[in-house]
Amino acid sequence: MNFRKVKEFVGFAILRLATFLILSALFIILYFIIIRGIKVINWQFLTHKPCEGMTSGGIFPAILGTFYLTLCAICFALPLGVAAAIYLVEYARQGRLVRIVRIGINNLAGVPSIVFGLFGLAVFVKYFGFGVSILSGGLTLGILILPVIIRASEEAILAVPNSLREASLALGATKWQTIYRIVLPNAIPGILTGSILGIGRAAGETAPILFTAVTFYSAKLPTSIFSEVQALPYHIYALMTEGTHPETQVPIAYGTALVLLFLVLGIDLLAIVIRKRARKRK
Amino acid sequence: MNSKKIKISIHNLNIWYQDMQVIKNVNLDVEKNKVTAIIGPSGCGKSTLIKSINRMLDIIPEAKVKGAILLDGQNIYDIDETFLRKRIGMVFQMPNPFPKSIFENIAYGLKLHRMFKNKEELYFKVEKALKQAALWNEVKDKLDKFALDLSGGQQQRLCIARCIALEPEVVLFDEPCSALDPVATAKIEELIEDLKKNYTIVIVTHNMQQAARISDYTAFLYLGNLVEFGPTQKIFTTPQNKMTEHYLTGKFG
Repeated sequence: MNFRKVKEFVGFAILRLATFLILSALFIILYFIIIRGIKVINWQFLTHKPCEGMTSGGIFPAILGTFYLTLCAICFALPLGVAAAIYLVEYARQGRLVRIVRIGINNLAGVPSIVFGLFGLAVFVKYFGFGVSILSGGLTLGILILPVIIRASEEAILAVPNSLREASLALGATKWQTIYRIVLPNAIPGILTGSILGIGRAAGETAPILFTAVTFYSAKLPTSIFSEVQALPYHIYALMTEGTHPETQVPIAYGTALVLLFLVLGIDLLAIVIRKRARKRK
Repeated sequence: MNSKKIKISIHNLNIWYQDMQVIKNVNLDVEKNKVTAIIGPSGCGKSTLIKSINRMLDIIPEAKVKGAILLDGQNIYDIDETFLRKRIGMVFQMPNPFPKSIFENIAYGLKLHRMFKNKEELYFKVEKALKQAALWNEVKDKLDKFALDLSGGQQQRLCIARCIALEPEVVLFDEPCSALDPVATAKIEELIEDLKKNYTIVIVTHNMQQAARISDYTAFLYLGNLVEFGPTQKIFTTPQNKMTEHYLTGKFG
């Protein structure tokens, strides 16, 4: 074997090892969460409230709370993000201002999530007076995922071939008609896929909802968007740090983690399905 | 040329992309119900010239247009661009049907301009356009099928049908056959011959034989200058300008 071949062999071996390490990290995480969590999961765990000071019962309020928070975040961030993306790609004159806006959006993505939590507390909870509520938490999560949605939408809009815009304009369509009837319908699968991945992230975040939406324990289920809620990620945190009976609470925390994990994986899977179906149509 | 029959009149047209001048003082009259071909080597400004006629240059922010283009004596910049583009249709180099059904492709423009009162009229107009574009027999049983599943030549005829469904007065063709095989090209050429009964046609082509076959008038454009313009017969047999002769005989281009 000559020296060049040896170098190639070593190089590939290192690459292979790196890939293997990443994969094994994923499997180790899944293994431990599943092994420790699966024991407590049953139908009652998914559909009942916690009881006896969080030492038994289920996590239904937390599942529901995470669902509401995520839904609220989508309703706020998706239309806003898509609208901003349309403006940036289709309308704004590509110059220094748009470049600065893009840098701003990218920086928004880099802001630590606890900072969003503080922002949400100051603005939504206090200033607007929404209180600790689904609305405050949902809006905070919405801002957190806005950059993801904007970037995904921009890419999806840019991916629509220019020849289609030309065809539409040449038939006497206005710019808005062209966007509404040609560009958006063709960009929607891409927008959804990217956005859903952002939503998966929002569902799992703890810090932004810490001061804005969640409560350790609530006796009744939320009744409006101004109710405070329980949420899966915070539930784990609370069980692990504030419990008085760790021997019964730690398994519940692992069970909750497993539910959260599958929720996020399920959301990602949905994104993959949408992308696959959109590709098939073309 | 009798002035009554002139459909489009281009006066002292100059076009720049930023600092680069691509059309230099072009004067050109397009006669009604005739085919006018614009020929010339790549990069001579053919596409730019034809895109200025339906104001498709408006969407390129760097493009600057000076001079006048008159449609039936009216400056095209005095006409709302959406209405202008309804009157002056365009077929592009690459077939660009919408990723919709065959029917919806034709119906798109009709819906934009609300050109029908009920479903029957819409269907009738779609059928008429497809017949005029010589595509009806091939697609009449699959109007709800995806337009991109058609062959390249069929897609281009679909784009022609989509354009003439709006009953335009002028149809601009921007190298409509350059992405097509010879059989599909022959069909499009036949179609263009047929269309000039109802429409005024301007076609850009880099294929000289095509210009000779289908056009009544030919304009030879070189480096943004209109070198020679006249009846096709005359341009191809007794060109006045040495440059035209050289181009036509293949000495450059």
